[in-house]
Amino acid sequence: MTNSQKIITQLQSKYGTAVSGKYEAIRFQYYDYVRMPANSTTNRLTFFSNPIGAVDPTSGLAKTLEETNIRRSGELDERFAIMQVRTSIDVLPMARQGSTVSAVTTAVVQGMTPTMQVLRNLNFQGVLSVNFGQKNFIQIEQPFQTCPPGYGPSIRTLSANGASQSITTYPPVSQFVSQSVDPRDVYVMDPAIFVEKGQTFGATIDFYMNNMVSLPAFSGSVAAKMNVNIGVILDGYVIRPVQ
Amino acid sequence: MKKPKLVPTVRAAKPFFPAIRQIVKTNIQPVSRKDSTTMITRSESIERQIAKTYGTMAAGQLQSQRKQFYSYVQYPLAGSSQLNFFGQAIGNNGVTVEQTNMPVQGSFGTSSFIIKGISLKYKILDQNLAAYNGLDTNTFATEILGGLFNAGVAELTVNAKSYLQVTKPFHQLPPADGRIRTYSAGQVSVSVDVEPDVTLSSRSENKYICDPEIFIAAQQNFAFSISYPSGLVPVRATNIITSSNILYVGVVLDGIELRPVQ
Repeated sequence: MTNSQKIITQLQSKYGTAVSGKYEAIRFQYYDYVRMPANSTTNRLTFFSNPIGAVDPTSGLAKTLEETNIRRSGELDERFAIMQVRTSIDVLPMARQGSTVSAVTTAVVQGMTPTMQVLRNLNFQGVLSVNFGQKNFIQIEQPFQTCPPGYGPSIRTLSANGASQSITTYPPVSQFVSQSVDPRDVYVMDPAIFVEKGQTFGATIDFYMNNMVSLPAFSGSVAAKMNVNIGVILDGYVIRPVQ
Repeated sequence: MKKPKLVPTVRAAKPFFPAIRQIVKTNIQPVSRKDSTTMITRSESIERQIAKTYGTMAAGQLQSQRKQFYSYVQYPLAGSSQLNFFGQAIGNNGVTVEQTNMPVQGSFGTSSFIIKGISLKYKILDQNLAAYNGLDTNTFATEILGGLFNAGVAELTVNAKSYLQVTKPFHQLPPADGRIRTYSAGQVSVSVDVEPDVTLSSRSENKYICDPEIFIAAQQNFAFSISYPSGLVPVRATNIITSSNILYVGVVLDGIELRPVQ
């Protein structure tokens, strides 16, 4: 074992593509977003199992760098120290909603209210678990409130009662539900969790009391439901060889 | 047979000062195959000596100062699969100092730079309408709550090596610059509503801090991009953002510039 290590070290120092024995640490995030099922039929969301290019089982779309940056199922590319855990309830932009939803001319500033009210309830549900190997390292209840993203829009006023869309169409007045945007509320791992490169891990959010919330119809006249992603973001330091 | 003329491998530039001629004479030698590394050292020492004697800056001395390097590009009305920043310097294709303060394309020129924080911002000349009637097309808030600012992935690469990869970057890397707010008296009438007051985060606590800092050496190439691999995001507030009232989105790298002392 010692000899093989020596040989590898020598080979690396002579022919390696990185500087042998030297490492750099940079702030980095590993993230994974999954599509929230429209109906209340699931009691578990699984993260970091479908890498880039794999198909999200709910949306049926291949994942891109916008949804995840893991390249292998349940593995990280580099050594990683987890310093923060964040979750994100991410209502997709109107351009990525169904055509009947995005066709509503007041969809953003007024029409999201029914969906927002359901997402507010979602904030009180679920248990986030992160396992490395077979061992549990993180178990947090109400993760959407305990581990908020710590970023988001700054909102002071919303409006709703334009004559073109009366309050009878979208009762009550417009609402926008936001997880905490304050970075001081982000869940900090102290001590940090150090993950070796290639170590298998997985994250889930389980809904034990009931299935997760069911998204409502967009409005009284539009039966389609909104596309919502749920994300888990691990923020920390990547430790990688110097090139 | 005519003897071939020997040409040195390194031809010295025509010296215009006798002192430079002397430096060149004593240091520049034709490259021998065994001695190529020595040649590099010699050329460095020549450069240093010339810089010391006639240079426009104090050789080997650096000064540091807080500095923001920024780059803004136009957001197309139909959306874009990728926006590239810092790819143009001042003066390229009519780029002014309002769009960028980069001295050269894709590098900091003769300066080195320590990136301590990153902010993504926007600017548009006119966000106002005479009256707001509750439609998405008529308020900039649409883009922040459910539009182009809710998508994308930002990447910073230095010499093709990734140093940043962040989704929804306009929210994760917000301006955090104490931007202005609009205070309203409320709804005017049943058909004229109060316009939503929504902006990217202005709180300084939300600033994305590079910890540890990212050091980019002088002349080192880097690139910053925002891509939309999951699909284009066209502008929705089409009565605000138009072909004549252009929306610019930008990246501000905040940190410390290390530049030669003059």
